Parts: sequence; C-alpha cells; structure tokens
Amino acid sequence: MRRPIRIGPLLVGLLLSIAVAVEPIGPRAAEAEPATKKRLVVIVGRDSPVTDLSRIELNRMFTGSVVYVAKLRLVPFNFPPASRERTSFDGTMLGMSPAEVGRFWMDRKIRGQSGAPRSLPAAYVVKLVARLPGAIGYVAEDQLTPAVRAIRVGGLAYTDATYPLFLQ
Amino acid sequence: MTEKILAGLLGAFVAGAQGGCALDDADKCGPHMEFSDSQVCTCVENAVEVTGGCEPCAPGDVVDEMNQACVCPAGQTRDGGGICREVAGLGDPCNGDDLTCDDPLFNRCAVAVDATTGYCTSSCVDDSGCEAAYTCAVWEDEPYCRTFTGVGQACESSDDCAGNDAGFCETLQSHTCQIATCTVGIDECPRDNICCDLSSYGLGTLCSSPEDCPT
Amino acid sequence: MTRSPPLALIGLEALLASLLAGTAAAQPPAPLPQPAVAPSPSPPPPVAADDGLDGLGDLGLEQALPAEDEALTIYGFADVTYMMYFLHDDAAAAALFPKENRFAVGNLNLYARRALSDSWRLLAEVRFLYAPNGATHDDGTIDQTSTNDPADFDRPLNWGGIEIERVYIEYDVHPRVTIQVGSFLTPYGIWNVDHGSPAIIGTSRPYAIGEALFPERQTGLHAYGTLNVGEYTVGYHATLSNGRGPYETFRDLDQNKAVGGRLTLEAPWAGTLKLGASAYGGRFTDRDSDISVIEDGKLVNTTPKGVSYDERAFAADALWTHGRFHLQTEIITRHIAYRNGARGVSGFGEGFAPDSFTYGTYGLGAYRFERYWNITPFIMVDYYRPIASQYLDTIATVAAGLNFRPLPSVVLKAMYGEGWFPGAPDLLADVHLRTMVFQVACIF
Repeated sequence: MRRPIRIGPLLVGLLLSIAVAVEPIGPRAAEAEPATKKRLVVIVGRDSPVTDLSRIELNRMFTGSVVYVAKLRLVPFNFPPASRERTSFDGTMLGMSPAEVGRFWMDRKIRGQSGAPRSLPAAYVVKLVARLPGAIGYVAEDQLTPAVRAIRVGGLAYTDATYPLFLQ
Repeated sequence: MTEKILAGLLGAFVAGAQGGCALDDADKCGPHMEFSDSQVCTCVENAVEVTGGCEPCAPGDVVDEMNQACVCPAGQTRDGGGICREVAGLGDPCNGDDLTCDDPLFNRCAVAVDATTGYCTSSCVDDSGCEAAYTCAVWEDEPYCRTFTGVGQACESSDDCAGNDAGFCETLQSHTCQIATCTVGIDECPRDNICCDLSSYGLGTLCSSPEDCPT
Repeated sequence: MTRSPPLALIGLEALLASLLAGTAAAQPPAPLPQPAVAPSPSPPPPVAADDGLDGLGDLGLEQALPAEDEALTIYGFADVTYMMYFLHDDAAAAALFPKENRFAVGNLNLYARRALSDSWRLLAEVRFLYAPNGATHDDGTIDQTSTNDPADFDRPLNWGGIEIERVYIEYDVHPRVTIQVGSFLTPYGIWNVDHGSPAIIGTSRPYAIGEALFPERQTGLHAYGTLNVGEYTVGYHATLSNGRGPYETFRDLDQNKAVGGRLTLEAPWAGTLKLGASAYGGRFTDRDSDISVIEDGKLVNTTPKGVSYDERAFAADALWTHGRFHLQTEIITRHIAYRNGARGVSGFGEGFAPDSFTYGTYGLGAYRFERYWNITPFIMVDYYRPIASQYLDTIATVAAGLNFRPLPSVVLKAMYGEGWFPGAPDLLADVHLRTMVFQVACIF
C-alpha cells in the first residue's frame, strides 16, 4: 500500500511557526497615549438620557448589536471608512484595523445580518446627533459644539488623563 | 435563579444528547425485525417484507424468500379460510421403488439427479398448474411442479449452501444462497425469476427477478 | 491607506447629504461628500438655528430614527473553484467522484435586504444553479438540460435552476425578542449560518455539516434575541417549523411541527469566547399524496404512511478568537427512530434502514496575518460517524490551506485535503481520497 503524502499538516505547521515567529501574539495592547494627541469624544444630543457607556457597549453598538438605554434605542453614526476618526475609533473600541473592519462588515452581510452604522462626515455627525433622539457618534474634541454633549466612556470623561480614545 | 435555569437547561441538553447514544442493536429495528450482520434491518423468521416494515406470516405459513410472501409449506395448500392444509400426496417422499406416489393427481416422483429420494408432485403446463411454493419446470421434457431448496437462505460462503438447489452463496450484497449456472433463455429458475447473465461482474449466471437483472 | 466606501454607503451618504443640504428628495442628489482621509479634521461647523437639518423632520426621522437604511439593498457573492482529485482509475473512490480536474462555478447567490421600518425587515437569498444540468445518476447517465433558445434562432441552450436559500420577514417585537417568519437557516453551530463561501475560511464544509444532521434550513417561526449582562452576552433562538421533508418549504406532510432552540454565551475570556448549544426535534415524512376513493357512495380519503422517522439532534460549538488566532469547533449528533410501518429501505440492496445515532465533529484553527493579502494559514480536522453499514464505519479528513483576503470583498483560497475511512471493511479500507482545491470568492 502506498503511504499517502500528508502535505497539508506540514505546510500549516510551517506557516504557523513563521506566524508565531514574526507576529506579536494576542490582541494589540492598549498603549498609553501622549497627552498632546487630540481626543475622540463620544457625543449624544443635549437631551439624551445617556451619560456613560462602557467600552463593551460601544463595541456592541458599533458592531451591529442593538443597544437600548432607558428604553431609547441608540443609533450609532460612523465616520467614513479610512478617515482618521474612524480608524482611531475602530482600532481602540473594536480592536480592528481598517482591513479587519472591512472584512467584518462584508461577512455580516453574507450572514444576512445588519449592515454597518451609517457613515457621515464630521459636520453632519454633530448636527445629526444634536437633533435626533438616540443618535450617538464621536468627533475630535475640537469639533465639540454646544449642541451636543460628551459622555463618559467606561466612567472616564474625555478630560481625564486615562481616557482611552485618541485621534491617531 | 438564572444559574439554576441555565444549569437545568444544560442538564436537559446533555441528557438528551446522551440519550441518543444508548442505541443498542436491539433498539435499531421495528416490530418483527432484527438487526443483521450486514448492518440493516431484516425480517425475523416467518415474517415478510412489506412496504415500510415486516409483517409476520400466519401460523402454519412459511416464507417464500424470493418473492417475500407468506405461502403454505410444500405439500400444503390454503383452504377457503386462508389456513394451510395438507394436500394428500403432494410433497410426500418417494424414491420410485418402495416409496411410490399413489395419489392420482400427484403421481410424479421428482428426484434430483444426484439424489435417491424425491417428492411426489404433478405434471403441469405452466406455473398456474402448481401450488404457490412450486414452479412448473417447463424446461424439462415432461414439465412438472417442482421446488427449489435453499433459495434465499443466509450464508457466508457457498459451503453453507451445499446440498441445496440454490448452491451458490452471493456474497456481494445479499449474502444468501442463489441458483447459479442456469441458462439464459431457458430460465431454469423459480417462478417469477429469470436466468440472468452476470458474467460481466464475474458471477456467471444467476436466477434473479427480472427487475434486478441488468439488461 | 485610502479606500473608497462601499457603494451602498456612498448611496446613503449621497442621500443624507442631499437631505442635510435641504434639497428636495426629487431633486438630483448632491455631490458625494468625500471621505475624510486627510489627518487634519475640518473646523467645526457653526451651530445655528438653521443648521441645514430641517428637511429631516418632514421625513419623520426625528420621531422614529430608522436604525437601518430603508433602501432596498441588492448584493451577493460568487465563487469559482478549481478542483483536483488525485484518483486512480481503479480506486474505489473513483466510483463516487468525478476523476477529472476541473473549473467549477460553485455559488452565485443574490441577496435582497430591505428595512421596511425601524422594526420590520425583509431578507431574501437565492442561489442560481446550473443544476439539474449535469446531475449524475447511479447508472452513470448524466442529465442534460439542453433546449432551444427561441431568442437566438433556436440554438442550443442549457438551462439551470434556482434554490431559495432563505426568505423571511423579521419584526422586533421587543428589545430582546425578534421574530422571523419564513424560510431561515437553522440557527445551530457556527458553519450553518456562515454558509457563504467568502465568510468561511476553508473551501468546503466539514463532512458533518454537509450531512445536515440538523436541517440546513426550516420554514416557520424563528424567535431570537440577546441579553447583555456586563461584559457577557447571552443569546437565544427558538424555532417552530414544518420540520424536515421533501417539500418542507410549503408542506408539512405529517402535520407535526418541529421545535428547536439554541443558547449562546459570548464572554471576554482570553480574547473572545463564544459558546453555543443547539437542539432540534422533529418528524420527517416522505410519502405519496392522499388517495381518495368512493366507497359505498362516500368519499374515503387515505393518507399513505410513506417513510417517516422522528429525529432529535443536538450540537455544541465553541469559537475562540484571540488577536489573530481563530479556533472553532462543533460537535453534532442526530438520533433517528423510524415509525412503525414507515421504515425506509436500507439503500444497500437489502433490508430496511435501521434506527441510527450519527455524530460528527470538526476543529478549525487559523491565524490571520495583517500582511501579504491577509494570508491566513489554516488547518481543519473532521470526523464523522455515519449510519452504520457494512461498507462504512467512519469518515475522517484532514485539510490544510491558505486563505488570502486582498480586499474585504475578495477571498482567495487553496486547500489540500485528505480523507479516509477508518474501520471500513475491504472495499474502502485502503482508500485515501486526496484533493486540492483552489477557490476565488467575492462579495459584490
């Protein structure tokens, strides 16, 4: 009897070895950000009951899950793909690179699940969040206006030293 | 409370999943069936295949394996009430010497070529002139109602079929004794069967139902 | 890196931009706002009473902000494979599979999705098939669906079919309860829902998934929802359907509804761990149509028993992602008990099919690099115990390969697989089926 040549396991073992050798294992660790970087501020309308959202809630909301606060359905608004704000937010809150985000939403479509939150330029995000109940978005701190209100992220105000969201 | 509900659901899930594992051979088949060595359900002795399962034959009946029908044993016939009764003379042993066939209807003594004793039977023109368990051997010079012994009997090798008319053990699919070396076109086979040329499969000729015979 | 937004988003942005600019919906859309790719954000726009959003109120968006775009979205996926079976003419497996190496268009699936309102949605997915053209029968003959094309001087044309993969209407009854009605993919395990070729890592399904120990899809009701408890997410699914059958999308031949359910837990344990447990119970029936005869002046209707069995299936699954590592496994069991007088034939030339307990499991491990087109080496092991037979005891496969994702919408795959039949007597004992499959899949 001829012995079959098992190429597959050898090939994968080799590649996994290379992977371990050249790639850092595990999720990207959050690094302390210098205080000079602009912060990304999560915003809601002035009358919104939302004051604080955990990272996991933000993650869920911006990855397609429905999140309610005080019976109000929160509707997230994103920045366009590849924008600096979007890349920064996705990297920190979702733990995903732009390519991973692209794959994530494409794969969700194929599964028949809901699509990505709507993407709008910064000026529109602020205006929409200010006017529409339940709307939630994020902007750079210097784009805050009196029409919207910054909320805490995981109990941290954007002015706190350990606030996690920065514009990369 | 939530933990208790989850634990209950998990317990029910595991119990349900494991319940399926407890499937021994005795549980695999339905009424009047048994799980065979070939990993399928077959009818128990004295039961015949019907659509969707097996049905037992009436007391006194025997199984015609080839046709999967309940028939009266050789030498018996079904009366008006459906009960198998002895037919005088039919199937009685004979040897043409001291054991003779005295019944005026069953006055033929059918003795196999290599045997010394046979059984009493009648002459015939076609199968309609014979009891259900008999076949009219029209290929003979003087046709008579005859039986084929061993047909459909379970076997592992042809040794298990030795001494029977069905002397060949078909080990590819059915693992049953079959009649081999028949002649295509002559059809020296039990009723409703024909002689089938399976030489392309390395089997020579075999008696088989027409629908099982490759054309 | 600069990337254009997907077309659907471009359309949405154009629509919203036109709304925000106060233009009427009937007017041509405003110029597309360009994605902000420059690192420096633009200065904040002045906030005034007239902030350009007045048009939204007229459209009812202030009262009921739609969570999803209400436009009809059409999208889909397709894949093409090149398959190589390393078979000799005298190999037993050559009787089961085509020997020739070949290109094959595998899937062409089209989705239509529309949010009818904030709470109502519709999803339909259809697969376009070349089948029944090329369907091979046991006697070796192959179906050809050639016909004449009346639109092209009756030149020959091969027609194909359409499979409705799923179609359902969905309604959010409560924040934690959504109900689907229609034909839906059975919520069990990981693979059955990730059924689109671009979304799965390998080129083909594990054997246990392909054997459909749970029905692949059901027609009826499907309720599901999630509950967030801190960092944990608990999910549930409950189904009530016609069950499995030859025409289950529009008939229930035994009038016996199947029930099923699934519980999931997602936890941030060493990355993200998703655990699931699924169950299904139902009755399969395949029978001829009712027979009606007139006896003694009365119409008598008889329902043939046909072939019918009760089935129970259970499954458990786990998906662990840690950074770029991906590990998933499923185990699926199914118990079949035929009803008295409705047992099917064995399919092995004699006797009847026995009641059976079948199970299968697989494990898939992968690591995705961020470079080289997101190259992802993977390995998959697969073990399946089919219905007991004298020819087959166990099916085992090992496959390894590479998955590339040069774009989020394009996937390239190469997979080498080897399958064998441990414990099989004689005919299949020494058979090793080796395959090499290349596949390109894309989402459009």
